[in-house]
Amino acid sequence: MSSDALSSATPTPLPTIVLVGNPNVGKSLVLNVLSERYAAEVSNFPGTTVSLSQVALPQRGVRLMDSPGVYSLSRLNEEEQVTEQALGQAQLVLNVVAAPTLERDLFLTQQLLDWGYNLLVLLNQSDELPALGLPPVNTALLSDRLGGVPVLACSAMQHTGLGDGFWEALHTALATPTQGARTPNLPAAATLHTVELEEPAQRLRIFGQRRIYLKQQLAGVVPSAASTQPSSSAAQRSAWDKLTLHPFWGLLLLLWVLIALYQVMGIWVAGDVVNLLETAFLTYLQPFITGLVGGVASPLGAAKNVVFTVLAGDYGLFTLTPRYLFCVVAPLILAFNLCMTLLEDSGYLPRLAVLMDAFLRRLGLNGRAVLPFLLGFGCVTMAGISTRMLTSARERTIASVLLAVSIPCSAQMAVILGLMGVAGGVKGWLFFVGILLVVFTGLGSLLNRLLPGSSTPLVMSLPPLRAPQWGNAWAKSSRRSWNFLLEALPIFAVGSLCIGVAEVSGLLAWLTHAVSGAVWAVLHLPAKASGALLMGMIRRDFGLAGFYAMRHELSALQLLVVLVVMTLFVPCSAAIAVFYKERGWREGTAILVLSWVLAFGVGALVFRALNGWY
Amino acid sequence: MMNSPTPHLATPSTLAHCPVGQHFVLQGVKDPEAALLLLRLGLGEGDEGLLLERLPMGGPYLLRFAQQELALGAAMATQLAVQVLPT
Repeated sequence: MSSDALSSATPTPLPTIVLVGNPNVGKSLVLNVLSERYAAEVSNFPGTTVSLSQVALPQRGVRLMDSPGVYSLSRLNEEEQVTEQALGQAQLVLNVVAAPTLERDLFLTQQLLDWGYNLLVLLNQSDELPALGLPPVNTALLSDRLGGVPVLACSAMQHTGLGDGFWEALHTALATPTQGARTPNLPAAATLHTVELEEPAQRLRIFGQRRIYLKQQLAGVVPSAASTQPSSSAAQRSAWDKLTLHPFWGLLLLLWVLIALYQVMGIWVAGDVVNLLETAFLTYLQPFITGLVGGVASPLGAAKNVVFTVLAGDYGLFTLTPRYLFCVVAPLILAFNLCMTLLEDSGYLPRLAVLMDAFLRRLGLNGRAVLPFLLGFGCVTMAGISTRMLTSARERTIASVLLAVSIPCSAQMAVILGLMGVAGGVKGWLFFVGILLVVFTGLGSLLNRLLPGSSTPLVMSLPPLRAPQWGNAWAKSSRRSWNFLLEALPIFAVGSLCIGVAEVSGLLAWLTHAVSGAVWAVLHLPAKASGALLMGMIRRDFGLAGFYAMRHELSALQLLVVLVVMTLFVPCSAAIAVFYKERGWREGTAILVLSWVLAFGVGALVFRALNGWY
Repeated sequence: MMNSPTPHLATPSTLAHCPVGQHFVLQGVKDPEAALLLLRLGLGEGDEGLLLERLPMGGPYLLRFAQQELALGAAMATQLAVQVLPT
């Protein structure tokens, strides 16, 4: 659970208002507007919020808590369990519903009323109704049909309806709870909770009963009643919608998106920006750092060389760490996160999930797995956690294995992009991507055959396509990048120190010598490469940084082998910890062993297959 | 879970057999788990929908109902008993 700094400074406990609603109705945006800061991530992909964000607002006398988007409360997935946990702390539930999909969204509202929660319904996206040709919602009538529960209209996007009038209504709702209209003939609120969560047959009956009751109650209130009458047709869909989901043009669009990403990430950022930053670092900062460390270390006599090597040597704490993290990784991660955020906020990713569903089903997954894989290109650790959004344990296992072995994270991508110029350019990319695709599909298909059970079908509500907001995209991507750097900096610094100490103590030379024979025999890499491989055991990108430093000493084929091995290699220590936590000891260890076997096995095969003509 | 068909409806079928661009009325869902998932999204027995598209190679089905678009995996489409509305 993330918490705002203000939370700890609050002297008396503030009443907790939990924001609850369906995915993509704008809960996080409402929280950000109400708190006047970027407190929760806002995106256009169902299931973005998987944890709880909270912010204390002492000046308003409340604490706001965001929760994951859910369609109901039935413990069907991780999001529903987290939301249920949040509801346990609620003095008032701020139920956010979207005006265009009101009929769907009010199912959860009705369930909350049936369970006896004190509600305030916030009707968001009201401004989108005219564009859809729908009349405005009569909030007074809706409130009446819900049994007097207050209903307020707003547009979080336009910052309307969330001013003083809203706060006044919120405090009134907090002070004078409304009972609301319950679905008739249900067990009492106190027992209903248990019945719906623990008795599947009863749950289905109650869900059906609730849906029928709601439909009757909402007659004449919900604007969507006529939306599927025979007069409407498939032609009403926007041209963009059709294009993104077209089996041929949709794939062509995906190819164009990938090429555009390569142009931005691979050419502009990894090429121009990284070169500029590295040149500036090597020209101005590195001489200053080495001079400073040399000056400080000079009175130390015999220990001078040791201190200098550890702090300012080739892999020094103050040389390699800042150069690699801030000149190579930071610009690439920021660019990657910005691109991903723009795609996420546009609503393109759910369409990609639909487009990839048939392919992913052959690997025992469904289209929803697109998100963990795409997140994996940012950070495998975070992506490992996001596999929780997949429905079955079988799917989570397959996705975790594929993430661990065949998806390079953005820190790795940073170095891969830098190394690829020396490793064969376009030819290198084709081989690299081809090899990873073969491993990805081969391993996925194999797991789909070996693991008992079958994949669950895709059921996904598609959010509308929207123009992303630059302010939101920048705030989200810079926050994600900053968090990544904060997490990576200490690990990288400790790794750097360990390597430095190992280098001056002779341990690195001994270990390098010990494994160099095997590394040469299997991968045909020189003795020096063994050191970088050993560094890669701490973090894959750390090892790649070692190879980056020696990129001009290796042949194009050797670099291709390095890139393949380091990508398939064991993930970073944080990712390993996540896989152990999420998948348990047995599966965690299996993933670790598999990644090692695959890395060296495929690396050896690649060298032998391409030696002589690459 | 099946309703008796009303006079204006065509022969019952599953969504997998529904032509693209056709409106349908949901008659029932074979699998209780699937029925639950759909109820949460607002699609229950007696609701009207429109089949927007069927992606090739066993891809998902795209439906519109109650102002929302929904993607359903091909396996799910065979679970849905529907009656196609005459054009």
